[in-house]
Amino acid sequence: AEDWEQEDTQLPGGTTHLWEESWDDDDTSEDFSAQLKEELKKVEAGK
Amino acid sequence: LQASSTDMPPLSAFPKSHRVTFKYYAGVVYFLDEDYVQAEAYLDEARRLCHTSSKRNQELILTYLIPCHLLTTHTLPTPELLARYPRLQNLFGPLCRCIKKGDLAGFDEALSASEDEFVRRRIYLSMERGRDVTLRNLFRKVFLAGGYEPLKEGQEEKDRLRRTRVPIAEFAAALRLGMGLDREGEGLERDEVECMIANMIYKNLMKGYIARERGIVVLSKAGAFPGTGV
Repeated sequence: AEDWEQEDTQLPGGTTHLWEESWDDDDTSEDFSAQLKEELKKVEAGK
Repeated sequence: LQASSTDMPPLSAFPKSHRVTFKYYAGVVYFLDEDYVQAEAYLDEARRLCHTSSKRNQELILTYLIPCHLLTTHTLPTPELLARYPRLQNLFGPLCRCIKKGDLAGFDEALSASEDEFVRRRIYLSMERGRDVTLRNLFRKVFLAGGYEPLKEGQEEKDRLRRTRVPIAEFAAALRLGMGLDREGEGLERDEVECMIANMIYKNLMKGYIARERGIVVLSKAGAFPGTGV
């Protein structure tokens, strides 16, 4: 059976950055956030 | 699966090719049993042992590891990880983008677009649970959009608190938007919205309580959305 050295198991870039750490979109100006703000204003006004 | 472990040499005595295979299949068995914590441990070991050049095997391992990780920690693979595997990019890319954005309509679309492939790989049900994470992210946006409480006397800028009393109507508005419904929209009774919020709280994706008579949700001042930094 095949065997290999530990060195051959390391992916480039290592094990870091496999998973996202932050939920914040860098882009706060994206459409949805803007739309949401509009919509929330309407909720505010409708009270 | 574990029965033969006393009659056998330790797993570490076997060549890596066998160990990867064993860890992978054990992981998949746990996965199908819905024991995602165990599954993740096995699959992650398989990934670590896997030879750098066997991309196909890495892909197979990650096919199960990604849904596991989504369910155990509610986090997504990075775009860089997906970019290394075009197949996984196709399979998970669109769904992950929608989960991150809290885009419910997009999530449902992406899920049904890949339904056959997900069912074939037996990850459909696990991926479907990603909808909770999408909903969490949508509600989190409502919380973020709510801004901060006015500063109290003697309070400094850095102790500024986010507004933790959020009207249910705001969550309802976000849902209408997120699901692409009209403003005067069909469906979505207030009870339904409350039910979805209650579910989030029950699943520990959101911390707080619903004050029904006042029509607001009171969110925890410390970590209203566990694991997301707010």
